[in-house]
Amino acid sequence: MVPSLPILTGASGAWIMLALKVVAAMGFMTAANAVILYAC
Amino acid sequence: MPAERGGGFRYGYDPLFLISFAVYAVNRELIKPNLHHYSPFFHGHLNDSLTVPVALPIYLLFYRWIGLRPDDEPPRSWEVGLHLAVWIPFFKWFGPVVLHRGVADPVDAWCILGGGIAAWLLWQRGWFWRGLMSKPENEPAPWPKSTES
Repeated sequence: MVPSLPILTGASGAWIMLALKVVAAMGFMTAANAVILYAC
Repeated sequence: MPAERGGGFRYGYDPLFLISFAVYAVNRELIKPNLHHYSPFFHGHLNDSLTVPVALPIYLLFYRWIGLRPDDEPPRSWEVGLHLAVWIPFFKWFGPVVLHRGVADPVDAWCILGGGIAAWLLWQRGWFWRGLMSKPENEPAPWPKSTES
């Protein structure tokens, strides 16, 4: 079983995880857009 | 991780992605270096038309990896639209005007939009054909034929 931080469990934890995923997606999009703009 | 649901989209192995990427590669490596004059189509419009079919599957694969995308369904209209709403201003305004990289050509913006719509239609062709071929509910089956008359 993978241990998880208490703050990431429960209803508020789900929102925190979603927010982290959205931030990760936006970071990836920014980096990938820059790669496309400068390399393609 | 959201509830797992199925779907037939294969991201990097999607046929439309592979064909579009091959067209982009051929244009970049073979066609453009051998052109003796500037060609608006090969130097701009073609690449812009391929933005969505080449880039979106890679983006969606990352979203799937981090668990933001709950299934492997083909790209949805809002997913295509959301990325178009980011890419068109970024590549056709922010890049050329702010970063001084790229060309701010309105025709290119229309090419990105047209390529995105065409790609979405091709990705949704399964849904289209299923809707076209399925019979309406409550319609009696054409067989077996009734013997009463």
